[in-house]
Amino acid sequence: MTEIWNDWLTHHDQLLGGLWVSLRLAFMALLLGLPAGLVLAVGASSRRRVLRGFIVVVIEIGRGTPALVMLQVVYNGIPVTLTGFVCAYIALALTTAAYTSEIIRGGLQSVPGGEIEAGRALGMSSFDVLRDIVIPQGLRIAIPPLMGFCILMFQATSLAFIIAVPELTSQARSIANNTFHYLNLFVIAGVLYAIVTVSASLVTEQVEKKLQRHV
Amino acid sequence: MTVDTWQIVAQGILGTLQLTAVGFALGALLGLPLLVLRISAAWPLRALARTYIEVTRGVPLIIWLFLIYNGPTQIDPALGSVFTSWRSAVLAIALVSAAYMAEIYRGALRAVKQGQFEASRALGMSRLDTATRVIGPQMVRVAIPSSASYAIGLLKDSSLASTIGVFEITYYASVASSNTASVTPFFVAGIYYVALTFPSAWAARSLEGYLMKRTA
Repeated sequence: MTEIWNDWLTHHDQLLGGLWVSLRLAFMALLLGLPAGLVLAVGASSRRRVLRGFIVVVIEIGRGTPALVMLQVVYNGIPVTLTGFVCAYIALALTTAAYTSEIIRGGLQSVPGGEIEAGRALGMSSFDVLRDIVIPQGLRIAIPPLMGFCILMFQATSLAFIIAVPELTSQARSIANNTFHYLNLFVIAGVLYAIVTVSASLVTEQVEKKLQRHV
Repeated sequence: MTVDTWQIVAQGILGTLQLTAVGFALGALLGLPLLVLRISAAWPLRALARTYIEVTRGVPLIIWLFLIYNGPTQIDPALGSVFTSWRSAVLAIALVSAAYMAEIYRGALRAVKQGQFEASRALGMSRLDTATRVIGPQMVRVAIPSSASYAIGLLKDSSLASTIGVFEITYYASVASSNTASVTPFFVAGIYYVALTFPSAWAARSLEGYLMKRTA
């Protein structure tokens, strides 16, 4: 125990720096991925068969490819040289878009069909119905599972160490490789991850309870 | 894209499937005692299980892999031969899956109508009989769809085991990629993963439709 504490005292600057990179990475991936997920969700519930089929295939490919493979493909596959951080951001955003589109689609579908018909009967265009009726209510239903996904995405940033992004896992690994204190460092990293994720899931639980009262 | 690349990466398919299957099976098994603790009447047991579940799910799988694979060598380097790549990966996946499966079981338990407990108790059935003959079979039906989608997710997460040197799809892809200095092997790996998950996702969906009709 004291040994772990000593390692923490020695390396906490580097580890907290790593945690900050992880948080930033998760934030950036969600910032780009969530709107893209919404677009995919709307596309996947389109009435045009060709468009719908195309979007569904894109979503399934995105969900079927492990984030680790996605990172490698983006990092090595794009002919332009980008920094590891940007590549991780793009790869995780792609994964986010594919996964959240299914969550959002579930939310959009739970908006009663009668409301859509009512909007159309009032002379609203189908775009207006989507923007003013379906999306606001659908997104609200999707909020708790989306928050859960955000927590998972924060955890997925740990994979970015494979393309040399200096986030928490990669910092813990590089310190451990130098000091051979593998156990200590990974315990510390695990505790740091758990502090963020467990408190975030407690918040999610509260939000879920709050929203249930209004549905 | 040569035939060679396809063959090299395909060497890992069996490894991926084995790792997923063994890890998931152990997790599904360990999830049961964890569920019993989680819904136990004694609050210390309940809190213990809750803590285990939250912490296990809150820490990325990759940290568990490194912790189990590399961690013991800090205490005694000889432990490296006990915690081999394969054993560490199975252990890490089993521990994490147990936490997720316990929550899936708990969700399924809640979906079974509570009146049935009282009804079977009123009919004079023992608690064990109630659990194994009335509640259990229905729980399985409710739990199968979410277990299936968890297992499909696990198939992809098993790619992380490549980082500690388990011979699965991503491992062969990274070897081939660094040998040929090209990204093609990763595209191939992606296609294999999609090819593996696509039919399983479809099967899970139709199984779900079938099973939901048979729950009270």
